[in-house]
Amino acid sequence: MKRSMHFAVLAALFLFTCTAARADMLQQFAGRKGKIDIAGGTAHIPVMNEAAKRIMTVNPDIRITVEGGGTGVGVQKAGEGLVDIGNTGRALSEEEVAKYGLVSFPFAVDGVTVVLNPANAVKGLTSAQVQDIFAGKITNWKDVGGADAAITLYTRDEASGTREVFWEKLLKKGAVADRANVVASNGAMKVAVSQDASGIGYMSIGFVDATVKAPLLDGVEPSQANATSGAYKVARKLFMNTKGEPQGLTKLFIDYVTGPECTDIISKAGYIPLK
Amino acid sequence: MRQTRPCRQNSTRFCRQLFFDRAARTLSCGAGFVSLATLAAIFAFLALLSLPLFTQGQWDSVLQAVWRPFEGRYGIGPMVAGSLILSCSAFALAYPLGVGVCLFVLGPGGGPLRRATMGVVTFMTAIPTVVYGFVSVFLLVPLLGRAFGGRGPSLLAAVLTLAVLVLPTIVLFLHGSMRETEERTRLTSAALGFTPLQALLLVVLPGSAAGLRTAAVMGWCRALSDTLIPLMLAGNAPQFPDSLFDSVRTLTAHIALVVAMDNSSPAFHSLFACGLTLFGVSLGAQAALRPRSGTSGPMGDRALGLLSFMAARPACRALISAWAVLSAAAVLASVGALLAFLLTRSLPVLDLRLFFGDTPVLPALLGRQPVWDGLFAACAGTLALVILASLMAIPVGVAGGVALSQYLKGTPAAALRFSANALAGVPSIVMGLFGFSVIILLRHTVAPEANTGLFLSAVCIALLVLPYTINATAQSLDTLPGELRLLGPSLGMTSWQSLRRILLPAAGRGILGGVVLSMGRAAEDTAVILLTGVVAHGGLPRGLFDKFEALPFTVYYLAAQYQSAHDLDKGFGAALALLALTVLLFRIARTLQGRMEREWKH
Amino acid sequence: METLTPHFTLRGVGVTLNGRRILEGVDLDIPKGRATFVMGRSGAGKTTLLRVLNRLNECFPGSETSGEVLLHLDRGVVRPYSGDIALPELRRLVGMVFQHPNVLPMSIAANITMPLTTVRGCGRDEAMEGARLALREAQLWEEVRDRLDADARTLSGGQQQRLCLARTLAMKPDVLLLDEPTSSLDVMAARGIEELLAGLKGRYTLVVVSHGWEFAARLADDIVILRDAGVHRHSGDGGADRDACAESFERML
Repeated sequence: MKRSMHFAVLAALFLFTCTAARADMLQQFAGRKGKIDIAGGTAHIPVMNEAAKRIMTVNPDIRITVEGGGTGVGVQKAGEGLVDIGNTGRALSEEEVAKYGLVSFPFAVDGVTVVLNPANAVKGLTSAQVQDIFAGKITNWKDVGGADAAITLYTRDEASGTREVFWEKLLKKGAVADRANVVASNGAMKVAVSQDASGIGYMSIGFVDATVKAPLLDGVEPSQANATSGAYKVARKLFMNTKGEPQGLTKLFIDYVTGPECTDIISKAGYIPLK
Repeated sequence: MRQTRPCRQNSTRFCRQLFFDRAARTLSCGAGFVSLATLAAIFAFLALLSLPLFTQGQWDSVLQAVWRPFEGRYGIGPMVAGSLILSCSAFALAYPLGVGVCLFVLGPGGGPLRRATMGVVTFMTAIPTVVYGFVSVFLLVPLLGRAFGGRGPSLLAAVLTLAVLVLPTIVLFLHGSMRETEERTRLTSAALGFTPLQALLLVVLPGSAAGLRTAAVMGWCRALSDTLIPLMLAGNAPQFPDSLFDSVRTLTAHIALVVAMDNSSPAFHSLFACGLTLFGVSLGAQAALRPRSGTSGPMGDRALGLLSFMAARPACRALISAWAVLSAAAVLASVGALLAFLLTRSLPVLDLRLFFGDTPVLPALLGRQPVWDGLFAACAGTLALVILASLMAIPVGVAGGVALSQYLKGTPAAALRFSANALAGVPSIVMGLFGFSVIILLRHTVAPEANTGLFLSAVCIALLVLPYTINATAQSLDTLPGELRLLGPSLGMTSWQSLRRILLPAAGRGILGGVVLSMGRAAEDTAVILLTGVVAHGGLPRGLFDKFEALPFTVYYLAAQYQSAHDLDKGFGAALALLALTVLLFRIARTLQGRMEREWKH
Repeated sequence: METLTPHFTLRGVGVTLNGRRILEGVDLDIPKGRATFVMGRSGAGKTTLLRVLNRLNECFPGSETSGEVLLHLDRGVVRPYSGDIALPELRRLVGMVFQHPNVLPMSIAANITMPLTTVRGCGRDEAMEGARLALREAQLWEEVRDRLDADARTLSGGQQQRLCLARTLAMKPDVLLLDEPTSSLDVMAARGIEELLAGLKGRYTLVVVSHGWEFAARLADDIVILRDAGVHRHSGDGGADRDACAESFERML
């Protein structure tokens, strides 16, 4: 009886401190004015939106705008100073850092997986098979254990961080066939593959749902847990980037997103928060 | 003898009239040259930014036929092929259909069905490109998949959708010209014993040669310069297509996909080479289709001969009538299918929650509480954009058209006419690229705080829609009867008085047609705002230079990005909202037109 | 023969329009207070000659007028092409009626008052008074006095042409230029216009382009025949010379 009482008091205290902490973090935004413009990776958008919503509910004088466009847009706009925060789905290259003076803040881990249509009979693929399929050497599903149908390839646009990670880590910088259809975001990839019974593509694990299927890769299930542990090798961090060290509102925002209060947002979006 | 009444005809009054006249003339000519200046600026810009290709010796790599950036190959050949094949195929489908629809609408007796068809086609100009794309993605592509085997996006889907998209442009230009001619010659044709169809073939079509040409040029350029349809439907694979079911990438889609790359890489510079190519091709088309003698040369002898041949044979006439009916039916069927599909998917979700989320309505409307998960901010952004762009484009466009028709002759007139048409052919993505690059330039030089936003988007869109108003104004004024143009001067009116009291009211209907087209275009544009300041989430714009949300972008974004069934429903709702907005704008313009007519009649 | 006061004098006048030489070396006197008919084959330049008198050729591209044109007013001789008289004033003094009745799509009254208020700066009442006088002079008043606010396009062809005439008369011109005023009208309406013009003849100088020899015979005091860009014949008093004119016309054809 007493133990459960102790436990209850401890739990209450814990909850209280948590709430206090959360209110504390958000309270830092109260009384401030200004705006934050955010652009870049499409994978980051759900997290950015939710964080922005919470902040703006506490303080309507702050205006936070969020646009997508892909990793390339994030680098370019943050670098040119057109936005305050540029999101990328990959680490910055040395040239980018040197040219723009960008500083990176990772806040989540995300895996990139191959996706198939749920109607596709194939359950797993090897890395070699994936490389050959995307290079155009394997052209029919029956060569990898599926139905007798021509493979439709889907790939991402040039500026995509998701594409960069997939190409480097899974395709090992191999060729992608010219005839691959190009889509402009993770969401678009999901739509495309879910509507094409013989399609194959790749996207952020956080975007996988019942409308697409993520096959096993070399026997490993593509899940965020496996991506964090390292069992699933095709993974990347999600970054926020600023030109130079962040100041003022921007700094507050970055601290907020990388802090403990946003772990629920990040998990809900399907990613693993970094800690 | 009669009394002479002086009526204050004195020198100060005359001087004032002269002043207004001169001011009107100068302002109009100045406005007219805005389009020329813009064209020059865009060209200069594209050339300047393609320059690194030449100075770094990479231009021959850009002219190749393979695009594989990971291998360091940046050839834009496949995209050139993609653009040409897509636009020519769509045009080849849309132009005969357009002529068929015009023949149907101007057919014997008028009647409610023919008028309704014209009404539907006019309605189609109000349908935003992004809505066509959106519906095609969810209706046409699965249909094609079921019919021909599920292969996803393809050239065919893009061709069909693009044809439906450019058809209204073709019909509106052609019909305006044909109706004028038909009204003028109806009695003459009947007196000669022609059946209505023969009159159309032998008298009206040849008499509308200028209209046929303008419709062709504007229609094809529209097809070539579209970004959204190929981006959403054609698959975007950088390859030369072997069949209608292959995936292709057009130059416009290429720009949209590659623009976010590092701007010192050869890939980025190849963008401007693409822009330059698009620009050059559309300019070439304008120049090649320009009539060789004067502003409206007669139809060629061979064409006339063909028409006479067809008009003389009852079998040919029957075929043509059948084709006219078929075209009208095809148009009505496609619009009907589009609307039915859109309404069945969007009406169930149409409620206040779609617009305002969980926020109560009144505080949201007054801007006191932000709206999450609702379309209100996007609606407000689009409205602001359209109003701003129209305020800029319409006066300049009408003044430019007046200059073109009344004040300029010879080489300046030809230059202005050409530049207005060429500006119409500039793809919206190139315009967006131009606007974006201007901001970069400003930031590096005179205005380091300059940023993309509502104002930049409005300016770019105003420049984009300028040609529609210029052309419509000039064409309407030019088709006025000669004696009407002499009437003002014969009564002693200055040219400004004659314009204001006689000519502009007479041409009012035609001018308003151009204005309607411009406003609709401003509301539905997605490619320009993509690069000049639209965001996916941003709330109400609080100033002229803020970033903003917009309905067409929301539709595009949700079509590509939807995470859940709820998102997709929101997309359908947004598509319907955008359609309703553009149709409303259209209706307002028609009401204004009615009021203008009444005012002039007093 | 009474001495005829010229209203217009043309010496060596030539007109080029859009690169084509329409008129060449025209020497002509147009007498005051009389009806002068300009006749000739189609394309000979009759309308162009008419437009020389109120400088309306300048509304066309590439127009050049050479030679000397004198306008004899009460206050003296002016040269319209040398800027002696302002253009709106010239066009007020030398009014024009076109072949097709081009009424503006406004009310009957507005058709006349609008130019008065716009060009001549008349107030509303003055303009209305001027309109009434003009309608009386054009013999249209009785037919439209009850429906001055009706749309002018509801009038018959003849009535519309008379309205156009009234519109010109309201400006108080000295000269009336008429470009085939009856050719688009039916016989009855044409007759009406002819009678009207006959009545106006003394008070105004009329210069009429027409194809109708009967019309000329009834109305013309003088006939000018244009032949092939320039060569012209000036025939004297009408009436007695009618047959001579007709003969020469037939010979010309």
